[in-house]
Amino acid sequence: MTKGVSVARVVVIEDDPDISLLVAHKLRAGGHDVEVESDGRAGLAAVVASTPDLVILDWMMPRMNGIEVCEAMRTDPTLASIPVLMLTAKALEVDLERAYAVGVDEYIQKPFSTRELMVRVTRLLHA
Amino acid sequence: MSPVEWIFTAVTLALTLYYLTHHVIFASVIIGATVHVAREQRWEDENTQALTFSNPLAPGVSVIVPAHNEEAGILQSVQSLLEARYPSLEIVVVDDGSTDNTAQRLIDAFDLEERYVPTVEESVEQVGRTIETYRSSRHPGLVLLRKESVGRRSDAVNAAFRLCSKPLVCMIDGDSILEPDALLRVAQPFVDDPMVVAAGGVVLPSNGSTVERGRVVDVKAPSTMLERTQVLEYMRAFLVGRAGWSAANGLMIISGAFGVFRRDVMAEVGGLDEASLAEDADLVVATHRLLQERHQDYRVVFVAEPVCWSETPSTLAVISRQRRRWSHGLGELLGKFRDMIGRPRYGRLGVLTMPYFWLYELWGPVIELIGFAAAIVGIAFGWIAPWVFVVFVAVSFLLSIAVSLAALLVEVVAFGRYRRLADMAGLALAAVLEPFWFRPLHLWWRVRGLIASLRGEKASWGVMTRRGFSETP
Amino acid sequence: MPDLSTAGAESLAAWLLLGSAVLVVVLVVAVLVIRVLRWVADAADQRRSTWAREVLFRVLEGDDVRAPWRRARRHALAATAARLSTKLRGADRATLATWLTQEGFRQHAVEMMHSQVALTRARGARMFVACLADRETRPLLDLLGDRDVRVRSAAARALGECGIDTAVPFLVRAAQSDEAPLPVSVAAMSIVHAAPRSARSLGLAWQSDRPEVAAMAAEVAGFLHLTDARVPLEHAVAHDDPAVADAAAWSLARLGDPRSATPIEKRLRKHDLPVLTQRSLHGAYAELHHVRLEP
Repeated sequence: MTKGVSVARVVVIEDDPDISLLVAHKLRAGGHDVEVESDGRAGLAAVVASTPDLVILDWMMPRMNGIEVCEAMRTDPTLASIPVLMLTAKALEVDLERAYAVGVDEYIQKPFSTRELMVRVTRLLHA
Repeated sequence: MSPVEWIFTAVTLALTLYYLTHHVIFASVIIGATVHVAREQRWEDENTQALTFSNPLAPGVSVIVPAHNEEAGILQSVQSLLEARYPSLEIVVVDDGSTDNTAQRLIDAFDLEERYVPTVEESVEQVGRTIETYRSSRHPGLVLLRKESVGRRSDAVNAAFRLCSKPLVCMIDGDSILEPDALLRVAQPFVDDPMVVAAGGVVLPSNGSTVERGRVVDVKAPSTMLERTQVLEYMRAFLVGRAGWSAANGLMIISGAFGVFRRDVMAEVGGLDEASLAEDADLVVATHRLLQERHQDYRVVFVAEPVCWSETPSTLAVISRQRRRWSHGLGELLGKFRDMIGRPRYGRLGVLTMPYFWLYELWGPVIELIGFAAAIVGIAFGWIAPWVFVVFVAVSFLLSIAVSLAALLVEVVAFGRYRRLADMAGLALAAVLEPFWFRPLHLWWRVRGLIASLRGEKASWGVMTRRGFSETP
Repeated sequence: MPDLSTAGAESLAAWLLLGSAVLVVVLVVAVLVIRVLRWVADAADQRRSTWAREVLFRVLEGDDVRAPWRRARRHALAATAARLSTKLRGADRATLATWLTQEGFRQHAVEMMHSQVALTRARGARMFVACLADRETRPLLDLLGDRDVRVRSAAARALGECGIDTAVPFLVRAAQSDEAPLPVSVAAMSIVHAAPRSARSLGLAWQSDRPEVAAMAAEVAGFLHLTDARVPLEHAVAHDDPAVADAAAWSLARLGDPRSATPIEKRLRKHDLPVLTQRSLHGAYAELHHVRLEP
């Protein structure tokens, strides 16, 4: 499933270890370099430090929520072009609107399928 | 024996009986609470499951945040609500005639604009005139109501209640911080059982803990003995007291700092009693009365898991006013509903909880003083040996320490929120020291409150100087 | 005053004093010891759960892994799988369920569902769903009539989680039961999760003599956009109970068929509704005409 994708650096920001570790596991199996952070502020710091190729972001997190992390990234010129995939349990139409409004590139709802996640990751890394 | 000695003997026996029954009742409350909390806690996994599941159709909640000069804590408090895990939420903040920047801070932080908000519930009275209502374009559920103060929290809550449109209404304080899933947890009983009309959660002092962006990220015990003692008091009141009374289905108080009510029932009761000082307990007792008189099956429940963090006073001057007011309010409340006390038709509340509160909470300090005076008289006249008095005091101190420690034990066994050993040791030490310094002070404040209620004094919003939450840079 | 300086009174006093002092010391020690024990237990839980996650991730990769027979590890594996399963869907979930069934967890879940202890039955229901890769929901349907309301709710949630819409009529029947009712709101959420595609599966609920069940059907139909629910909803708007009328009106607004405005208007003309419901119906009516009622 990772054919044609070179090694990418991905930061996963998610406070549920079941999900963050599973996503990290899948990405590593796909040959990517993964860094996991469990709160928004630490996540943003990691993004600033390593300017990764992709950020996978939860919405509801301590210290700083996913929307704010994304907003902060979009206002920083060095980070503005990093694709963001939001993985969240928020399911209402207004949530989707809000997420895309702050510059999220992909939106996946929990519960999720890892196969779908990998397809979208690949697409974002290619874009 | 002389008549005086007769009277003395009778008083001493009555007092001994009083203490004995108090300890028996309290021991059974502790056991009831432990069983209740333990049983609930075993279902914890299932509950978490239920919470995530309940998302799409959970009944909407309107949260009322009355604020009077709360500029220090209001932003964190509203932030914690905006970040709460709840699918359908409306937040009504009331700026009750603040003289500080409470309203302006909210307007700036959340982009509020003047907008008309319709009154939904006409049946509840509002005394202070509404000045203006605001809405936010960024946060659709957030409403700010500015009104003239009449000096009472209850009027602020009622004014907000008139605007609430969701089936459940939650009341918190202007400086409270809700845990992210606290609302889901406290609303769960309403989902599971249609008979539930009111539910209360746990309030714990936030003093000492680290708060970031409306979330308590590190739970710590506060550093001063006064604040630590209050942590113990809250644990006793909630984890032992309320859990125990709730297990007996005789819950009388749901804290105004964190309680949820069904809106239709609250409207029927007429909202909060504007004149009452203990408006939160007043509402619960009024609800009990309404539903008992109508012979309707209902439940008032306490949920031991969700926590609302609230700042408690850090100086003696403020806490003395607060405690005086609480005692005053309790006296007022029991006076207002005295026809319910001891009446079987009002269920456990009437025959158990209210008499208990009347005898042990309200009149307790006076009886304690009488006991003390009697002992001095007895020793002076040689009617009792001094060692008897010493043993009596020592046992009563030790037992009250044991109650605090039992509450601490419930906390550590069931929840373990305070993770550091030093915090636990500090709280245990505070428990041991409490009877020697805090209890006499508390006794004095309560006596003054009782006197105020007997004289029928009027009182108003307590003045509380807040320091705001300690935010790490 | 009775004479207290007797040997009996003195020794009683000494015992009381000693007893309460010992109680205090024991409690202090207990508080501190339990704090430490909790650290140890939490750390052990954490380790086992990390281990269980790794095993399950390998299962998801399609590796050939065997579950161990040691009790504590098996327990951790079951708990982690039940948790993980709710966060996944599609092929991942099916892979996990098939593996759990192969390793005997499904059999164990069924045994748990027959336990004497309510909590074990509820946990069994949750475990069972994690193991479910087919449509064999019989054991869960049986639990809908359980004597403990929390177990009934757990079973309903489990059914909702499988997303099998044939369970919907059973959920409706459980909500209407007299002797062992399923809380209506739990039924509603489970039905929403099961996501039936037709209003027909709500069948019994529309005619229910309990208004909260009828209101639930109305709400669910709107939430799920069941277009074939329009006719029963239009009937429900005329229901005597305001809650049913309210829910039905809003669901009609969600379905958005302009024909539905007439029954709402008719109901409003009767002027028998409480103010709040009246206003809500006005809102639904306006919504159907694409106007926002902002006074």
